[in-house]
Amino acid sequence: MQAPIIRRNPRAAFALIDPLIGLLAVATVMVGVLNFWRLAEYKCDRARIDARVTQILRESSDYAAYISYDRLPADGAQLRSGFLLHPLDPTTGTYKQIYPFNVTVAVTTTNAGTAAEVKEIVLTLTYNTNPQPVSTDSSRETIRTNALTRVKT
Amino acid sequence: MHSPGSKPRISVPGGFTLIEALVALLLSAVATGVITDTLTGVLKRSYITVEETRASDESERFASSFTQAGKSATSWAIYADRTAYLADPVANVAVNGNVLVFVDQLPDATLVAQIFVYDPVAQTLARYENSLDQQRSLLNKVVFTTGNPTVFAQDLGLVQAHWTVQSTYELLDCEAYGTPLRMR
Repeated sequence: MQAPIIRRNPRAAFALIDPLIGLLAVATVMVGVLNFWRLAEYKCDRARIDARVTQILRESSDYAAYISYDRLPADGAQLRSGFLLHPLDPTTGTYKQIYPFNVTVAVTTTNAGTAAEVKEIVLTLTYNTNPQPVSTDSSRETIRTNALTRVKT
Repeated sequence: MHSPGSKPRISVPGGFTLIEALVALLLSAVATGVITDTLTGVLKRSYITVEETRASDESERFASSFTQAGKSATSWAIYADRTAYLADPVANVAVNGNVLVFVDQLPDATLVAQIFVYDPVAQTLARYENSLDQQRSLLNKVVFTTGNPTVFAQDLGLVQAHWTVQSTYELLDCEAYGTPLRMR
């Protein structure tokens, strides 16, 4: 006995699985494109944030290094605060304020009240950023500088 | 060749219809558009970052020259503006203003002046060496930083400079500090 010959209808186009595979492929490409875009955004943001953080630390260090000894900030004082970036908002034409930061000083004094008085100054920069795209990133970051030594005399 | 007794087969063209081809074309056009838009956006974002970094670096170099000139200066003075400086550099000294002069003396007694001038009309911040004819660096689109009515000031035992660069895509706040020898 011969096996029955099954012939497909030559006019039948796609099975259900065919367009589903096509949709899956398109969806995969779209997700990849979106993630690529978000990663590019994130990298650009990080580059600007890192540059700005470096600038703020340099400015604050210069301030602590050059201000007269008697006017050095007290331990725990806030040296400055503000926003890391001020990008232009194209829709309103104004500059936004994003990623707040503040710089505080920790001052350790030795030989206080004598001519040999020395102050060790450590700056702490704390700032908040957008945790995207990696959800495990902390939105709050803290950077401490090396100790800066100021001698009274 | 057909075998005897078998039914003749009718050849039916099994390709795509016009509408299917058009839909496929439309889909690929949309996909290409999305990908092109994304790549363009990524490139534009990179370009903006490069522009901002360049503007920021220019200000950083300016701040560096300010601090360096301040550290080695044997004398310095602030003037309200360029006119006041040129009219009488001795009598028109001010506590804050838009012109700052650091003068350094080399070992052979040669005097080197670094002159920093902010022009609020042209919105430029420039550095000159020895005279206002010899420009060494220039920042554009500079405005006053909020809370600072002038760019240069003497305060807290420091010579300070505060300026803001109003670039195309971002506002860049900058500061520089220096302590000339006579202030230490």
